[in-house]
Amino acid sequence: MKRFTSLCLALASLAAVGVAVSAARPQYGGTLRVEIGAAVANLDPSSAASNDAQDAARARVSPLVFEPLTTIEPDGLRPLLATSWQPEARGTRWRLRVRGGVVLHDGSTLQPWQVAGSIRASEPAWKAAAEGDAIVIDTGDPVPDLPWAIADARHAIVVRGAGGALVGSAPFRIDHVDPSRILLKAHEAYWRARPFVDVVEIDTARRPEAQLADLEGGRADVVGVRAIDARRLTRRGLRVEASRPLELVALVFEPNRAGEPALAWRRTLAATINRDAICSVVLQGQGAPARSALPAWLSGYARAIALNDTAALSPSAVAALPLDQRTVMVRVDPADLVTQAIAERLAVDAREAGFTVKVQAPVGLAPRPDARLVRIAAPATTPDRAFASIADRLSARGGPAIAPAPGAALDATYRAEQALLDRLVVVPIVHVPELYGVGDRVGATAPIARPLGGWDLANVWLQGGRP
Amino acid sequence: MRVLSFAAVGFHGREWWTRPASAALALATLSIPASPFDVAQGDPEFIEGAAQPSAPFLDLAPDFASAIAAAVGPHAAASVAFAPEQQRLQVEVVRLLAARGVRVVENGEGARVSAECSTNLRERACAAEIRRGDDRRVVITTRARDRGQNADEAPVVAIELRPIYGQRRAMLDVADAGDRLLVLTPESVSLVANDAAGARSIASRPIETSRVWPRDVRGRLRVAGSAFEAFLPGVTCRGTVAPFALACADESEPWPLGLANSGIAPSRNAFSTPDGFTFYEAAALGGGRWLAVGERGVLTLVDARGRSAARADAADHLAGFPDSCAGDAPYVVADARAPDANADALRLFRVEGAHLVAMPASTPLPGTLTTLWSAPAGGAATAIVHDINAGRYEAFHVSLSCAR
Repeated sequence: MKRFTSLCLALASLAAVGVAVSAARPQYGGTLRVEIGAAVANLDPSSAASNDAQDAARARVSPLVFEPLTTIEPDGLRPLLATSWQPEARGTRWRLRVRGGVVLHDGSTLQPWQVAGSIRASEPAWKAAAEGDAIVIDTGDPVPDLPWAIADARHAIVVRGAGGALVGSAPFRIDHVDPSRILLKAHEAYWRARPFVDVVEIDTARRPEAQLADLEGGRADVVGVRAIDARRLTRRGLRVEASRPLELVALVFEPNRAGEPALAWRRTLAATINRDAICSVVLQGQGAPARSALPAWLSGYARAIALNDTAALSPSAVAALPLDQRTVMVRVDPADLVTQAIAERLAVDAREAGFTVKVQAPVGLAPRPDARLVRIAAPATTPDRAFASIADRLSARGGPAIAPAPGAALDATYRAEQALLDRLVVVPIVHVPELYGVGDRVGATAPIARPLGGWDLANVWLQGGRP
Repeated sequence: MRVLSFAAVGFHGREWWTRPASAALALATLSIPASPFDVAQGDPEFIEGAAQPSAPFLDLAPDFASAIAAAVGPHAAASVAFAPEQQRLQVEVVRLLAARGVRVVENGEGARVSAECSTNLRERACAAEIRRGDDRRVVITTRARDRGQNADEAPVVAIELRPIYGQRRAMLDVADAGDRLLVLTPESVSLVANDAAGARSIASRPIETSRVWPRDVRGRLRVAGSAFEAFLPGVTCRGTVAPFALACADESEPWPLGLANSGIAPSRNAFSTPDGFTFYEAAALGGGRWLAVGERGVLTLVDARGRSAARADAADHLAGFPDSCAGDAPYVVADARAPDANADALRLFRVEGAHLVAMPASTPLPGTLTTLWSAPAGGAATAIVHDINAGRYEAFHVSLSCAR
């Protein structure tokens, strides 16, 4: 089994901890200023987002307002608005006891019938009804891992208030939403204690460069950070916090290069990739080399994955290729400087092996590429669900992937992933975390960047607030 | 090529010299506390490529070894390599592979097994890649991480030992008899008083028999009011505490173990059930289920449907605590031995289905455990320990302490 050990991500995180805010008693009050790159037109977690970027942005904001019945933490599945659950009828029906005494943003107390209504809205195929202090979800077909499924943010409990207002139970309530700004206010009666700050002001659709400048200029407290900018911030004494590596950056070959006859060619090209250099140089330590689609912490078997790129690479192997196969066009998202930087590094390594890699970041029409460098987020959930999500997104990009059934045993997920990677149509390169830059007036009793993605803003406090 | 010298499972001896080195190696893995994982934010798993410490995966080792052994094939040679951080786990898996007939070698011939254990959000997983020439197979063994929403309610369980009595002569069992103590030795039953003058034998009655005791002689007391019985191999004695009297007969009767048996035959040290299952000790698990120390020390689950291996380590001694700590799984206490030590330890396990899950609780003993009898009503046990250095036998009351 080939091992790949990289501590660069860990070292980066250690560095972040090393500059954490000095100890001080948390203070209440103040407005936390946050900036994100995408627009969030609608906070309703059950509605469809118009693109991946908006989906990702809403996935960060929505949990500040709405809570699901269960939640997934680094140590596994945990209760949230449900206190316990049990399957009935061979997993086609689930009974979940609803937490009592949860005060909603409108001051009322959460009722099981409201929970059932929210579940019906988020998953119309299910039948959900209140029974005493519990709800019963009838899924029709067995859903053996339903408690994991309903931990997804889209199943967060949303109560429709007067005039269609969205009422939640999480630490912040919606005060105002417009295309460029979201204002959230502290939920005074939050069942897990009021957050420290009074207001969270989220400026949306901010370009990465503007976010960086606002953080450095003291005009923002928490911003999204690209890996290529992390070192710049830490050198200026600002804090960078990272989640676990959540996103896969992979080379996905186009259909014209994805056939069986081109397997040897793909293997030769894949063998030129220097993942360690990409991690340490391009990503400045904020990434982990990837030889599997799922990161090790999500699969538990990543080191058993055999990436089929171990053919001995020699200049003669490349020289033996026809001329047209020695030139490779790789397309990247023109708005994504990180994948562009990775692609440039791929080009350098491939060039040393005799290939000519051209990086294409088109804003309009462009020649047909041989491969694309794509970023695919892996949701922090069970291995089968995480892989199914990746497979879905690969399929949308023309990649071949067959996902295991929800609740599948781990070896089934392993086989599906190994089958995906065996063809080398998808070549994992790195896993990257979510990164956030944190301003120097921000204190926190817990990391702002949640290990499994998103923010923990309930534990954030601001220096200069009232005691 | 050098064949590693891990012995197969199997030790019945009740003294230190009868136990092969394999036990020490295996149990060493159980008794060494897990090393802390020194990573920021208390979140070690986000280090890509870093293996998890061995200790959380020891309970997967039997299943994992079985899966590897099935893939490698019987009597085949294999080299085994774990991540450097998981050497303790490697030692245990190698031992279990040897017990399953795999010839474990260092590099060279045979299959090459590369293995590592890790976690995902749902479960703990051990994965092994097995290469033999161009053939490649992967086996994966998993176990749920915890009990989900009930995890916060899991009790903290500890083994408690309370000294009862000590003497220089070998003891087979001790039992409360009102305000006195009955002590069974191979030669006699003694009545012990414990008052201001300390514990002392105030009367003794010989066990009169024509039998020659087996080298590993065992005995058990049962007290009912002022009457008592002493069970020995091929001998049954009956007596009273007041007046203190004893009469023995050379006859085998079922011993009061709970699990049906015909007693220990003369010159033997094991029991048999009516359907012929041989066992050394048995622990009640509740619901008609039993965990027994079977042949070659294999822990075996016994229920109304039959028997199955418990997929756990071997042991000599076992006591059950089916109703302790109000958990949804019974506990058992088994013996363990640390490497380079002259003493045993008691190790706590929780029985989950057909699996023994090792718990953190472990209690060192002052010598070699020679006897561990579950109390008839459950919830307690009697342990007798031979302290070779002090030349004494010590009897202890064993119970579980629960906290939440």
